Amino acid sequence: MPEKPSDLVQGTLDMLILKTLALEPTHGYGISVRIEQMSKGVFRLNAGSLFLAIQRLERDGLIEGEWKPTENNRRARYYVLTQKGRKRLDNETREWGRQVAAIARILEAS
Amino acid sequence: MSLLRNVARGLRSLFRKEHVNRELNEELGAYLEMAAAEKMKDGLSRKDALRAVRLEQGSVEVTKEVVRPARWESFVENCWQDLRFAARILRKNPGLTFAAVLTAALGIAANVTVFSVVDALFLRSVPAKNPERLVRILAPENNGGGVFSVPEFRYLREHSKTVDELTAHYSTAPLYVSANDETGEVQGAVVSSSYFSMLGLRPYLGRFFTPDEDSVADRNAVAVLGYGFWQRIYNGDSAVIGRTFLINGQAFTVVGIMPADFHGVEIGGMPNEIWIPAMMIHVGYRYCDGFQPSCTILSIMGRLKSGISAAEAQAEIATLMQQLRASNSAFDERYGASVTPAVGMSGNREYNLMLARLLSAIAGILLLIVCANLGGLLVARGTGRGREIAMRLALGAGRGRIVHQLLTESLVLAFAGGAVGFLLSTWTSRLLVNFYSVDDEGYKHLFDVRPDATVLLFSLAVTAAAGVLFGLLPALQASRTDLNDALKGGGSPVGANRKSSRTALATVQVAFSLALLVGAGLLARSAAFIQSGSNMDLHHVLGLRLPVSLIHYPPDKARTFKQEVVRRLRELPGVESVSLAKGQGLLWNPWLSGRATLPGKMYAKLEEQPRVSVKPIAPNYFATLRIPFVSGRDFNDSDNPGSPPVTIVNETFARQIAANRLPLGQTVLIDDKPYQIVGLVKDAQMRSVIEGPLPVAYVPFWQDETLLEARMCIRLAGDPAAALPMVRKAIASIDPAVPVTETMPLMDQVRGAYTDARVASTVLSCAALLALILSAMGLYGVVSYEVGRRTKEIGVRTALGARPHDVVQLFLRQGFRVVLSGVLFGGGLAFATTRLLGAWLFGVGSADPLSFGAATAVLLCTTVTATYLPARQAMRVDPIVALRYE
Repeated sequence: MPEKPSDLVQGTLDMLILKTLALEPTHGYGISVRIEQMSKGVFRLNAGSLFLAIQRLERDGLIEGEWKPTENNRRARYYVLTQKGRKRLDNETREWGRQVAAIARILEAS
Repeated sequence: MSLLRNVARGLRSLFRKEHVNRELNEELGAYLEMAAAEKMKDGLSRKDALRAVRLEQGSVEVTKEVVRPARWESFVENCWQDLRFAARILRKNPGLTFAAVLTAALGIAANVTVFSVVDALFLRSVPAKNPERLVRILAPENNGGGVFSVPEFRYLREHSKTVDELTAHYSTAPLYVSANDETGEVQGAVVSSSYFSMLGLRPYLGRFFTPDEDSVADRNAVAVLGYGFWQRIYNGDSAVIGRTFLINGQAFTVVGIMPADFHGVEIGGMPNEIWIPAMMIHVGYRYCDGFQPSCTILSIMGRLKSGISAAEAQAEIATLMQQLRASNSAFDERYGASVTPAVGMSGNREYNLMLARLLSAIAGILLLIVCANLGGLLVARGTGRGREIAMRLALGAGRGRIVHQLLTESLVLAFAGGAVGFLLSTWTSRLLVNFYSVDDEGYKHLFDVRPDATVLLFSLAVTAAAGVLFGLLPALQASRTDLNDALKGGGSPVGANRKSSRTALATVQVAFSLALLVGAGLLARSAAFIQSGSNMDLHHVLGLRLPVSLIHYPPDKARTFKQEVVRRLRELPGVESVSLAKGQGLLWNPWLSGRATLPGKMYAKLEEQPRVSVKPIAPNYFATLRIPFVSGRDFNDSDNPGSPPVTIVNETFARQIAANRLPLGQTVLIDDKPYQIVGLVKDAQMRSVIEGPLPVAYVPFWQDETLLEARMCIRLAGDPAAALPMVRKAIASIDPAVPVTETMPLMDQVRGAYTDARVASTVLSCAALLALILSAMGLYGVVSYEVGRRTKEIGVRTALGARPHDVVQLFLRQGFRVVLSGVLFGGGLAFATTRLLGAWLFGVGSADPLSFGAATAVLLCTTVTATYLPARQAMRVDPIVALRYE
């Protein structure tokens, strides 16, 4: 790893999980690997905060879990994005884009 | 949806805890396995891979601890755990638990009791099916009581567009009833036919009267009977429908029976037992012609049309009343009207509110004392449990968690106390409302104090508040336990602040107790003063009323009948003297019914002549009521219609009208008629003792042939209530048809007249007694705890040669400090607060030295004893045992 992994921006973990699951339903470990890969190792998740977020999203009805066998014959909980989750992801993505653009404008101001 | 899902999940994990935990375990396990498998691909052994993952992710257990508490159900779980733990702890110490629960129960019961009565008086809706939009429509107060006449009611009913089902009722009609061979006075209501539909009533049997039966004056003599009356008089015989009975001598037909739990629309009113149509008002009311515009006796209720506010209805009614007056000058001038929700008592609200406020304040103070007491108890116990709490803190429990645990314990105590207190209050609130259940004319009033939802809610709120109030300080303090001190095992892990908070709590109790005691003393003295009256003695006097006009006695027959009654009663054994007086109750507010002046004195207008109270009485009136004569003679048998008019006046009359010259033999004009003054009596004051004496001219009852009705007063050697059957029998032997009503010992009448003073004084006395006991207990606890804690020190002191009484003094001094500061604070508090009692104090000042002195003395005796008893234990400490114990 080239650099020390950095902390997630506050409140973005849910959005990242939703995005990961929008690409493909997977289990907890899958989510953490995908986020690490896609961020090129910048973001590394701790199991505690990951499962806390999963629990929260599931309770809010944004994702749904189901027990399934894995490739190497273990049981794991696979998570799927619900209709509501997809909508939330769209909203958050749009909102995020707005914010990033705004922050960029401020930072680039001279 | 998501909330529902959240709750569903939460409940699932609550009830299937094992399963959910297993799932979490498995999921985390899978996660680790997969992470390890990834590492093994890099060539690590399985063991090393797992180790590496654990290093990266931290322990599985910690992860679980992070994930689990984030769920709301884990909070519930904690509560449940705390609850079970609290129950276990409290069970282990049954003595302390019992004392605490009992103390809490008393404090809570006091508050619930007072609230139940407030609820019964002010918050209950009229007993109707949908009471929300029911309103009372009150006429302006310029002609008393907010009541209307029949023509006014008709006009409003025809023209109002804001109120539906406008209903008139006169719910305090004493009816003299003969039914099924029984006669007696029954409380009736004269009501318009809309009464039943407005209230949504269904007859238990038969039917209610129809609008047609309530449309023509004096035509339809039909009646609906109360369930209780029907059971009592007709034994619940359903064949009674269609039968007739007599009301005030007129035959009425029974058309229906009311449901069992309906007693009328007046909250705290006299329970109605017979309902007759408004068009039969001549039977129900005799003092003016019910159909005349000026005969205002009807109360009006109705249901607001939907979308109409009370204010809109009020404006409309006021306008209508003005229009009516403009069209016909026979109607009284009315200024406005008021429309209020039909909730609580309709009359005397202000007055009773004042009492309610006083009672609530007393109960509130008592609850504070209870909380201080329990707080002290729990602080002490927190100290005893210092080591347990320190251990838990050391093992990683957060402060919040400890406070949570201890608060749970105090809430368990509070709710146990609340449950007992609630049960207790169902009994005590009945006791309290009993004060209101008989008025000063002997009539029964009905208040429903069965706990309703409002009372239950109030009890829960008070209980929770009390639990937090007395639990919070001890809990916070215990959570601040110094780990080092406590675990070092010094045996007395007590911080100075903890001791001082106990002392402070004990001081608070003593102070508030003193304030309550002073208040109780003041009110007791005031109540005694009010009821003592002056220059009269009503003990052993029985009063009753013979309303002969109810059975249409002509004047001459009424006269001979009453003379015969006086003669017969006088001959009865145990009867010392008998007399009678006209009209108003013996103790009613004397009414300034006449004008009086000396002959020759001129006034430009009649209204300028001085007003006096004119009271027709029979001979022996003064002897019967023990009103002392100053000079002159009593009336006698020769003061009859043929003889010159005479009068006996009281001292105030002599002073005000006769200019203080001894008026015997002088002539005075009363309502322009000359009377010769033959006697002078002292100012007899009972009712008006708090208002000052009024001028009274007594005139001979027998001299006025037009007088029909009178109230008898009979002085007996023994208990007046016990003599009542004998008196009734004697009267019945002359004419069994004459009703004998309003029978009561006159002292009961006095008690009825001063209900509020008695209620306030009784409640305050009970509260003060309770407070005294509690503060004594609190003080005992503080001192005896100190003795126990300092056993070792006492041992050392004794071993070093301290004499026993030196040791005792050590603790006495501490107790006395509490008592003294409590008395100082309490004295100041009492001085500041008893002023608020001002409106209740008669014949005694709010700074009455006797009340303050007596209260302080009682408090000192009790608290000094409560200090001395445990302090003496210190004397018995054996130094050898004490030192070895360590």
